[in-house]
Amino acid sequence: MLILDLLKNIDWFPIRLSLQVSLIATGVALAIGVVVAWLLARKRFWGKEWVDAAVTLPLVLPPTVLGYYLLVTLGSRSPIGRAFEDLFGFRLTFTVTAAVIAATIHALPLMIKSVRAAFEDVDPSLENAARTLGSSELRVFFTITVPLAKRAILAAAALAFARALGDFGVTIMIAGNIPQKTQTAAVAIYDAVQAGRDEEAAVLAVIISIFSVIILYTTNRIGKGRW
Amino acid sequence: MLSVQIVKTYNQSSGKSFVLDVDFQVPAGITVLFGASGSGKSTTLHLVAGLVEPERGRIAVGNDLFFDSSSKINLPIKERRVGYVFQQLALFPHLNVINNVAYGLHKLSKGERLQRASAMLEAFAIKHLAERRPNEISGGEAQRVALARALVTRPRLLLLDEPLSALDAIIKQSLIADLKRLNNELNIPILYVTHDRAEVITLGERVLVYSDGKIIAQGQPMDIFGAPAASSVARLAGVENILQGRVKARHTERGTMTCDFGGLEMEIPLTNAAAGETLTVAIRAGDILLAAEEPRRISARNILAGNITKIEEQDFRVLIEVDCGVALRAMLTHEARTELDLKIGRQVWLAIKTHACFILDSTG
Repeated sequence: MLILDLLKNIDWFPIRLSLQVSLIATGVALAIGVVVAWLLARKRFWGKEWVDAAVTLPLVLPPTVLGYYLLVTLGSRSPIGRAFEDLFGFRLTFTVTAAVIAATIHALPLMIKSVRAAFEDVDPSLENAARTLGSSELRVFFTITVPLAKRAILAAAALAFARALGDFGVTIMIAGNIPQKTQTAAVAIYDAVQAGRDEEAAVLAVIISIFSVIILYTTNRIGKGRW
Repeated sequence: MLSVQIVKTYNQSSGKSFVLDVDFQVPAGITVLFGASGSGKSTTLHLVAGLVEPERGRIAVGNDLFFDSSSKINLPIKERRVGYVFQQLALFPHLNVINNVAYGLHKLSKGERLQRASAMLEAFAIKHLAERRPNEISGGEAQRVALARALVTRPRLLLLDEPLSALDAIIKQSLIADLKRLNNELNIPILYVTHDRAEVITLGERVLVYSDGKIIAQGQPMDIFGAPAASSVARLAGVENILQGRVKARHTERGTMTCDFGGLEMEIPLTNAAAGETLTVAIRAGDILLAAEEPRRISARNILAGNITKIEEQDFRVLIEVDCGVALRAMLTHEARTELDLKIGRQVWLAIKTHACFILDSTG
């Protein structure tokens, strides 16, 4: 009954927080990602290569570097941070909102890359056919482009969720490590190891691993068209 | 009446630019755009449909302006009401047949939409396929679905981009019959792109011959292909024999002239070409008679003896190449070939009427 005792004694807050943060971050990344991916896949505009590079940057930058930039940009001494404080009455950094931003930024590049590839796979003559049949650009997007890229978008969302769940560096930089407030599972594991609470670290690690395996399995099923 | 005057430049990766510059007016009925691939036929359809914007020009159907660069009018694609059948058909793979056909009727109520779509399926004899997906039907069936989808919105113009190219001969015949019937019912301009000259002859009331972004000839198919005026048209029209020769003697009293084709002399219609001048002559393989014995007392002025060098079997006919000093090709039916017992190396005689020789523009 050792396992049951462990599960009973464990603090579920970081797991719950991680799931909530990742879920919201996936939603935000999906909304932003689909729009940006469509622009990159279908439109020609000035500075397109720069936009492409900018959205890929979080993939190659060390998470702590990214976190540092965000801290400087969104912190209470920056114009954006102050504007946010004036508007909503609380600080942006070291809050759950900051954790969501961190997870979103971490998940976005992969999301944009895979959704863009999915949109590029949609035969443009199908979209043209829809246009000649009297469809507006919005209707073409929602009745042709998105349905045909649906699988890839779902798979990208699952991967984005996994990335969001796994973020450590950006989160600890801008959301911090405040127990019962901004401490996500990934951060809690680090904290537990540092404090020598080995059992807690192990249980959290196993739980996160189980989630990750489930997500990977799901992604593969979607990708192969089984769902 | 569709009237099109457009200019569009494409910068190609090779650094050269391709310029499409066409000007034509066509009434209701089938007009075939004919030419080699890359000559600008499909691009013309794209421009008329509004998928691509011309640099300058004017496109109008009847009194409705689609595009006019001088008054800055560019009607959006969705308001042009153009039926378009794409080369690869572009059926929506995620929708079944009935929903593919109903797609363009989204402004109607659901009941009306399905009613009109299924009436259309019935007209094309494909109602039994209504619930199938595009990947579950045959090529000929998919072709009918694409036509039904384009026509259900009652377009005022129909654009067909090589619609029959992927089909076998028998299905082609039945679809050509469908198209002709449709043409009578619709009474709208139909632009039909193809590079198959058999389709031009069977379908077209008019043909526009494209070459390198320009229209180099237009008129009725039989006029254009029967007596091509330029060697580029003749080559496109698939005239099998194009010979270079030199005028040897003029016979004004007979209305003919003798022409030397380098080892072969023939009597051809008189032109104002002077003796010694070079010219190009086209002879269609179908206009050459082939005899197994030397023909006597025959009206054809040119009787040429030679040996068979090549026998090329095609769908419904055989192309026989005979070396008469110059290689000439004659077209026969399979039956005639069997009856005459033609084999490579055998001596035969070719009979060519003077007026089966078309003198092409030397500049063409």
